[in-house]
Order: sequence, then structure tokens, then C-alpha cells
Amino acid sequence: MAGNKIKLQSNDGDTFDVDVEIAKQSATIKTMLEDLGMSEEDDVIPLPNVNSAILKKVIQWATHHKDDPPPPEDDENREKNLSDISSWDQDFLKVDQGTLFELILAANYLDIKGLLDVTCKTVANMIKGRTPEEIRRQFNIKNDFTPQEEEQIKKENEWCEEK
Amino acid sequence: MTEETQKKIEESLSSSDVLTTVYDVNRAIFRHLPIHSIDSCSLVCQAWAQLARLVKTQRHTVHALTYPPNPLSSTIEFPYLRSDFDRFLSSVIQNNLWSIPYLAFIVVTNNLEKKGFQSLTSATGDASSSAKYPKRFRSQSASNRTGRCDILQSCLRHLNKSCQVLMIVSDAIVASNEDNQTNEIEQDDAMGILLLPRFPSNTLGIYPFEIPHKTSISSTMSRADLHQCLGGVPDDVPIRLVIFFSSSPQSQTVNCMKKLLEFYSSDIAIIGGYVNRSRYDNRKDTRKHSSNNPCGIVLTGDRNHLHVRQIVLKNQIQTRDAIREKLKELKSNEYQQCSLSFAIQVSCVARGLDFYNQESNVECSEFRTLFPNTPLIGIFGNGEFGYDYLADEQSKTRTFKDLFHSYSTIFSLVSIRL
Repeated sequence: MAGNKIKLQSNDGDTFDVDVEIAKQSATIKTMLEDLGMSEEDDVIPLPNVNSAILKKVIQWATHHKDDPPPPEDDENREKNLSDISSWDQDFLKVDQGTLFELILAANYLDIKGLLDVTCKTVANMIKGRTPEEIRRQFNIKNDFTPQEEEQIKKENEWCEEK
Repeated sequence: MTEETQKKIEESLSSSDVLTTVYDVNRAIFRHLPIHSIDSCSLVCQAWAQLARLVKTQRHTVHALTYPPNPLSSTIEFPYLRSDFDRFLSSVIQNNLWSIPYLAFIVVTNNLEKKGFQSLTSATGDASSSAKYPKRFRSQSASNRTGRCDILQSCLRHLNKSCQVLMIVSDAIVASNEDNQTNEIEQDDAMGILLLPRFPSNTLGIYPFEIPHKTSISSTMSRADLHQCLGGVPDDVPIRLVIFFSSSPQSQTVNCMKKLLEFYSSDIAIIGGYVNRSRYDNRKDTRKHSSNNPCGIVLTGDRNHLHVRQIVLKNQIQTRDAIREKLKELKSNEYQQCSLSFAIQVSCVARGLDFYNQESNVECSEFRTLFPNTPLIGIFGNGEFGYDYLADEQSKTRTFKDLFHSYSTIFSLVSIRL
């Protein structure tokens, strides 16, 4: 079966030939192939939520990581080491914030756990150690609290802001 | 791709949308954040406040710390500077802490607790840290011209505001670090910290207690009153393990043990010992605590969630092989199925280096080999309390004299299934 290819189609019409085994890192695609019995070479899998620029990046990532062991199950209680992003991934993710978030959405939609992990870790690193105001500025998030709500949350918070 | 579609995508997709409206993505990002950052995130926007609240209640991790980080490498004189401890603890809290601590169980060597941390009041000493804690440092350096900082206060000011602290002071301690390396620290000054989160009450109830000086524990005391005395455990919640420290063989301690055995003859584990001093701060009452009051921690929980096993290395157990054989009895199927665990070691002061021909860490390293991922904390005391408490022995009735030992080591293993 090795060497089998399938075609992935982005939402702007480009198609990409990809090794089945590489494409199967996406649980979404894997399910499609298994449920729909799509294995013939001329089948095209449409991916309406991903544009070609991002799909190209995703395929590049999946190709590099094709021999990775499956990532461990999520466990809310397991501590994550924030620094363990490989240097290849770090270079791969030297992109603007918009692209980073499109990659996250694509990884989420395609259900590629390893890619979702590493992209979210990158965002987490941008949040770590920052104040709420700095985080809002970084990601352009609107402060939608009333002053009372903000007071209430400060009261609930475990660490007082050192301000 | 046409320019138009590219533009459309960019418009429809701002990072703030992804971050605040796509729940799965949000969740996936928060999964990589230490709890201190989650706390900050709750003040960013409504959506994050909700998710942060959820994450805070769902995370349960046990953390073990040792300070100084390499307590046995005493080639250079370690200065025990307050500023260094501040950096150590605040870095752990900001970067490594995964859930909100509910109780900090601290063991500290007698010398270190007596001396406190050294604080440099010179201009250079303050400048490095003043950026982070301007207000506090000013007031501290003003009140601390003598240059010594209390250990308990140094911990309290970094820990979250709901975290209670129980500190046991003894001649020697057992402490683990985040990588689960454990040391028995007898000759150097050091402290160990075990941070326990709050659990659902049927899983693990944690009740730190201090028995005030004049409390009388009479032979007619009811179970409800005894529970009240031991951290206010509700009468209908059975106690599973009592970790008990006392500064001298006093009547309160003895009477308390007697009552516990009367109400729970076979169905309770007790571990503890005689130590130099203890201090408890529940962050509520401001009265001055005596450092001679008996104190400790009561654990409660369903048998489906909480498993306690305990063994005593008696006087005659003196070799690594014998220790290992006995420690193996702590292993059980329940332990294998539990996702979280921690352990307490109470040793006789005579069972350290001198007992093992100047070889250090003999007992804790045997424990470590058998239980590689279980944080271990403890003290060396002047008299130990405890008995073998294993599944097949739980029906055995314990008498008062089974409880007190000398020249022994007691290990309690607490495993938690969430």
C-alpha cells in the first residue's frame, strides 16, 4: 500500500497529491477514507475550510512529521513543558499571527493533534507571563467586562496583580 | 487564489475571533498554560473568564519542591538569601505550577527555620527585585533591617491567597523536587514543599489542623468533637489517614491517638512523629499560633477514589534488601490504577547516615526505585507513630502500643483515582 496517493482540494480549488499515510495524520481525512471507502487514486477529498496557502503548510508539516509516534492523549493534569517545541517546528512557525491562527483552525478542523499541539503551544508561549492588558493588546481582544465584573474576577483570582 | 478571496479570509479571521469564539482552540491553548497564566487570562475577556474558571476546578496536580535545589552539594557555602528564594519560588509558581494549591505542606530543617533567610538591605540587593515587588520590598526592608526573613512568611507571600500552610520543623527532612529526585537532608539546611490541590470532597478531603494549647481531649469525647478538633471534619465523613506531628510527648497527642483508635480501631492509618516545632497558617485567624501545638493533616475520601497503604521499617530492618522487600508491600493494584499519588516518610533521627555507614538517601532511594513518580516528603523525628496498614490487615484491631516506635521508619502511600 506504500506510496498510495490521494488528492486533497483546498477551498480555492487547488489540488494536492499527498501520500495516504501522510494525509492520515489528519483524523478527519482518515475517517473520510475509512467511512467512505475512498482509496482510489482519482478520488478527490474537498477541504472546504482550508485555503491552498494553509493546506500547503499543513502538508509540509505532516510530511516532516510522518514518522512521529502518535501524540499522547490529552490529560488536563499532565504538566506540559512549554519549551519542548522542536527547532524545525519553531522555524516552521515563524509566520505572522494571522497565518498562525489559520494553521490552528486548519489543525483543529483536520484534527491533526500534533500540529494543533505545537501551534497552541506557540500561542501559549505568547501568553505566558503577560498581564491581561498585554495579552489583549497582543491578540487584539476587546475588554468586554463591566468594571463590576472585573472587580469580581479580581476577587476570585488567586494571585493578586502586582500592580 | 484571487485577491478577493484572500481578502475575505483575512477579514473573516482575526486572531481575536479564533481566540475567544472557537472553544476547542481556546481549550487547546489553555491546556499548555501554567495555572498562574490561567489566572491572568481570566481577566482578559468574558469568554476566557468562563474557561479559566472551568480549568481551575478541573486541574489536580501534586507538586514537590526542594530548596535549595541541590541540597546535598554543599561544596560552596550556600547563602540562603531571601532574594534567591523569592526568585526560586516565584519562578516555580509562574512557570511550573499546574493547579491551584490548597495546602502547602512544608518541612524545614531546624537550623534554617531558626535563622530564616538572609535579606540584603543594601541598594544593590533591592534593585534587582524591586521591579517586581516594589511595594512589598520597601515595607519588608524597612521592617527587616536586621536582615533575617521568616521562612513561613517568605512562602506565604508567594503562594496564592487561598493556600493554607502547615510547616513542620525538624532536625532533618526528606524532600523531593519536580523531577522526583528525593533527598534525606540531615547535615545541610533545606526545606521541602508539597503542594496539594483541592479535590472533589468524595475523592480527597484535606483538613489541616492545629490543636490549640488548652483543648482537652477527654476519654468521653464524642467522635463529632474529635472530628471538630482535627480540622473540622464533618461527623459523617470517615477519616482515612491522620498525619500527626507533635513537639513533645504531651497528653493531647496521646489522648488524641487513643480516641482515634477507639472510634476507628482497624480502619484508619496514622503516621507521624515528634518534631521540634510546627506552625500552621490558615490565612483566616490572625491570632498568634504557638509553635508547640500538635498539628497535622487529616485525609478523607471514598474507598473508590482514595487508597492509603502504610508500612513500618522496624529497628531490625537495616539493609537495602530488607527495606526493599518491606516497601514492596506498599504496591497494589489500586496504586497502579491511580493517576495521582504522594507519600510521607517519618524516620527516626538515628536512621540516617550513621545508621547506614555514612551512605546517604538509603531509604528514600529504595522508595524512589519502586515508586518512580510519587512525590515523597517527610521528616526525621524523635519517635515515630504508625503501623502496617495494608489491604489484608485492615480488619486487624490496633492497640495503642502498636502505634509508637523508635529507630523505625514509616512510609504512608496515598494514591488518588480521579
